[in-house]
Amino acid sequence: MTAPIVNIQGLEKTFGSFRALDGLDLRLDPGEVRGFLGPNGAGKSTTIRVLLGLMRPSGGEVRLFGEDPWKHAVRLHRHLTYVPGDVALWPGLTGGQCIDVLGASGAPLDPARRTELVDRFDLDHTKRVRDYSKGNRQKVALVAAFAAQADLLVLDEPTSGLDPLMEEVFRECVAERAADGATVLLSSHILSEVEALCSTVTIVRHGKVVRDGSVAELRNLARTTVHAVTRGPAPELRDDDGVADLVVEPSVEPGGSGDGADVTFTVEPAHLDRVLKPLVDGGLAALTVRPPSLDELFLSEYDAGPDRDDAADAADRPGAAGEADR
Amino acid sequence: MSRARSGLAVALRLQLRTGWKVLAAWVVGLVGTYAATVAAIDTTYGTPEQLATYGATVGADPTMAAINGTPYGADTLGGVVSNEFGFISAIAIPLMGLLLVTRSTRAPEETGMLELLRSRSVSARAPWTAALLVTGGALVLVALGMLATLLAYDVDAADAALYAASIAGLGAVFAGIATLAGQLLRRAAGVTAVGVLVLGIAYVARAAGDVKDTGWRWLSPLAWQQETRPFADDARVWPLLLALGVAATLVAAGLVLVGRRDLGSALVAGRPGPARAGRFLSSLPGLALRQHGAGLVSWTVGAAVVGGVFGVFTDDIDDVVEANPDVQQLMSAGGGDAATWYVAYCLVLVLLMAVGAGVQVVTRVRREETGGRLETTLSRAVPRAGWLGTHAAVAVLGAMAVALAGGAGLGVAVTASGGDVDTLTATVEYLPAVAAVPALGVGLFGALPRGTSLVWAAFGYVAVVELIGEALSMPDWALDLSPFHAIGRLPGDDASGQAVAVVSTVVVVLLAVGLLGLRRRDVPR
Repeated sequence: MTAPIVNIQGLEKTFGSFRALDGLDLRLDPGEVRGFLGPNGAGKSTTIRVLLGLMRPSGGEVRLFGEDPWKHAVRLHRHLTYVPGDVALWPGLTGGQCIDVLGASGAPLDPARRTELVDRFDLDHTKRVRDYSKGNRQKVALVAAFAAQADLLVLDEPTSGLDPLMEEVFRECVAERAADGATVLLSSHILSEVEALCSTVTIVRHGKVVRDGSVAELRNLARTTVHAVTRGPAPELRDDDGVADLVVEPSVEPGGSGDGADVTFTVEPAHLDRVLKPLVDGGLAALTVRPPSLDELFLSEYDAGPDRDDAADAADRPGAAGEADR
Repeated sequence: MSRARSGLAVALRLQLRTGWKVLAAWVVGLVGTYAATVAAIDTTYGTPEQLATYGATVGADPTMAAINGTPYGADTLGGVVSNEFGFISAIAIPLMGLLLVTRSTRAPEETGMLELLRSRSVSARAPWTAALLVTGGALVLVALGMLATLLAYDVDAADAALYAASIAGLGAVFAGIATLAGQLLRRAAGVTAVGVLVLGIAYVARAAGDVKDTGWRWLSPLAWQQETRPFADDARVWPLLLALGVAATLVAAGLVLVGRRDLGSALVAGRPGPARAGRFLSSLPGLALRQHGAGLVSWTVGAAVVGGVFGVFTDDIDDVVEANPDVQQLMSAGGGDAATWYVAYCLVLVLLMAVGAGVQVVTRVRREETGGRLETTLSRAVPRAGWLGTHAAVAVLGAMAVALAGGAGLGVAVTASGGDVDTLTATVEYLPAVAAVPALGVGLFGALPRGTSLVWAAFGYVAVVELIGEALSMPDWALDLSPFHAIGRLPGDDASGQAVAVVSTVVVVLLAVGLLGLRRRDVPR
């Protein structure tokens, strides 16, 4: 197995009495595209700042390319590129000048890619930064990031402010860089984006990881929704442990015998075969099986978790919501 | 609160809520300094005879006329104080009017905060009207504080009221300038720059008018304040009315224009620029110079011009002093001849401009962090010490360049007007002192980033010591906290080699504290 690009173990970070990170683990192997998710204030940006050597960890181990980012930030930054969620640039410079300034140190810019990306992102790079909208500032940072020949891309909510067209270009670019073998850490709130781009995800809440795994694994944890219409009476499903949210209504199916049923329930994917058999036996007229949407999964993880009580405490504390606390 | 008032109350409340500390700092700082000056003068010139002596000597001193303005009624307590306080009031009051209006109008408009406010039922004019009311209120408080101080020392109420009103009127003119310039320029920094430029011209015009006794002075809002002559026998109200009329006209013009333009727009529109950054701009020093260069060049030119204009008066100073034995005696008591004494005072002025330029660079450096750009910068392969070292070098060397330009401008003009005073050597000897306050800013930025703006307090302290420290009868140790005072009064005295060494060491230590501090702390903080 190759050495990980990012290896964070038991990371802690406190600001005064506020615990922003409380034993967080994060690992990225070469070529991995990992989604980094969590509600606002969960500690995503703080984790990234520690990873970049901008902040010093209060506890735990942080390794970037196998080295300590706090001590070797400058050397390590030659191999990565970073897009902050709230892109701040120099107001007096043009977008094009900012791209070159950003590319002048750190991972080197590929001039051909730079030209191509300015075009693809439809960026007016002769405009001054102070005249840009938020989306256009974001584009400047994205062009600089994707044009850089970097081994690692750290993207902190990079598409906030982009229109759907540019969001599509962004996805293409991430896919291209991933195909080139780059490793990507993508912090995002847009679940469809994470689903489309990432093979693995880490979900954090209150400075801790609450879920970590491949998108497929996570999908297996969530419940599948089944909607069936039977010609005969509805089978007895209540007895089965894997079934929940069961709703049975008389069927209004035309041509039915009159005692048909309209059945909706959720079931764990592992139990799917067990519940389908009685439905088929009951004379199946229609069947829809909807796989779990990641939205549902994430929302349940955002909303509730093993440390629900801690969560309530943290929310009461001042500053708990201040993730990007500048 | 009501719609009829178009959100004025909302805007007012917001400005008071977010700005009361700044307002309090201006009012308390100015009234406090003024009260201290009154107390010190009352102690030094306690009797009518002593006041009369002041009038016959200092009052007739053309150096004073150039720097503080013509000292009308300088045989009364009020007159002496307004003369001693003249330089501070001529700089601080206009800046107060200018900065207080801009910080609540163009500055939030530039950052987009006004957009949110305007999306409520708040009219285009409301933030401007509110800012003018708040600024006007603060100026009135300063005036009332001065009035109360003078009344406590039994100064004639009518005279004191006229003086206080003329001070408030001076502030109102610059609040008006900020209001009008704020419609024409998109950037708050641009509005401030225009205001400072007007102030510079006003100061030079007033000084030229006072020394040469010409009508030029009437171009200057500073003269309108001075020419009310509140403590002289010929006190008059009409120059105050002139000031208030001009202020009202500027404000009215600004408020008409604000109703006709788009939010965020200005007369001067943004223009496209180059699509590529050259090798120089992409380098650390290149970007740093790009950020601070324009400001430093303006300060350099400003210092050279101020030095030059004041240097030209050296000749006139000599003439007047020769004709007045009392003044001559006063001058020689201070050591050296009149011209040297005058040149030393002028040198301090241009050096304070240099310190201000350096401090401005340091506060901009802090804004790189609060604005989020430092995070982006340091996520690249940029070493922290290299980045801060570059900006600190620009701050310190930039301040020194401004100092040398001012000292050279002064020296050339002194020589051209027949004087023989070496300002350049004095400037070089003062260079460590010029670097001291900006270096303190760098140290604060590294070690105590959220306290970086305290560097302005240090600048204010040094300015007060240099301008009126002697008049305030401050103790020696307090005076020597100013690095300029510690080194000595140059040219004229010999520079204290020991003080130069101490100040230089302190500068190096402060810079090191800044660099090490930044290397050890979180960014952003």
